[in-house]
Amino acid sequence: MNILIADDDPITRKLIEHTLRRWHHTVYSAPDGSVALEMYRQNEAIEMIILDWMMPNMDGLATCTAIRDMSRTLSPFIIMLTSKVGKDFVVRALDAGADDYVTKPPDPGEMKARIAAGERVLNMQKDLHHKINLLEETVARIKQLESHIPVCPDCSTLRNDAAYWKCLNALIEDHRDRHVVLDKCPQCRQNSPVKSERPA
Amino acid sequence: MKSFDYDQAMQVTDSDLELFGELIEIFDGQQKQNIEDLELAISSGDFARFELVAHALKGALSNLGALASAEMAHILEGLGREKDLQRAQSLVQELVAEIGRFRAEVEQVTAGGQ
Repeated sequence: MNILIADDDPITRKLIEHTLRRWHHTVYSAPDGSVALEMYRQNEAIEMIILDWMMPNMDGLATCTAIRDMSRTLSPFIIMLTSKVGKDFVVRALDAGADDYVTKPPDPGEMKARIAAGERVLNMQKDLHHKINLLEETVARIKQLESHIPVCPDCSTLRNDAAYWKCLNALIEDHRDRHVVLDKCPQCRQNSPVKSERPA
Repeated sequence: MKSFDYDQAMQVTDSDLELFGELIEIFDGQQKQNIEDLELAISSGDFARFELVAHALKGALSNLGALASAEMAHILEGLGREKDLQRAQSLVQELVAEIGRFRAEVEQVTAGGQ
């Protein structure tokens, strides 16, 4: 997974970088929120972000809000990392758009479990996005098929949605926005076989 | 409170002594600058900067198992937040001394091969 961490303390950054790389993640790191925001803006591959709360230039809360305001198809999983404890801080972090909250110093076991939980959420999000794409493609194809009007190539009558064959000239005026496809009506079928399925 | 809590340092680093050594190197490289930043913030009355530097120092010391130093940095952070830098100058000097004790204990423990 591609993980971005932002912390102004180089020791915390080194510690988390080392831990995440040991777990085979690709790590990007930033010394403050504004650098992290720019790195995120330029790298579409970043899936998870670990943000320190107190940082110079742009703190974790402001960074989190700015990231959530950016329009991306897949939203990153954001973990707020801080020594601040108490329900009020958790609420503020979650209100700013964080998905999870870890207190300093980070315990490797807890960190690993929370990252795994985040990865599950991201995988569900990717799966959902894939299914939505499939659904949209299917709906588009159904709409395309619905827009086809069967036309008899011999007598030029058309079949409407109620399966009645009517005069081409009468119906085509009502369906100027739709594609015309050839299909023989039962009467013409008896008289001669289908010559072509493509519009003339 | 302990100057150096070996167990906490090993918990944070997942018992990786090589990583702990690298973290100590980073700390040694930035310690002088951190103290200078605190003193500069006191002399310029920059409470926000003082709080921020003390906060980052608290986090770094906590990661290293420097519990007593981390607690002092925590107090300094509070003084910055409360805009009370009168007590800060002497406490910064106490912090420097405590960090010295921490480093001595780290040397002792790591040389002893614990």
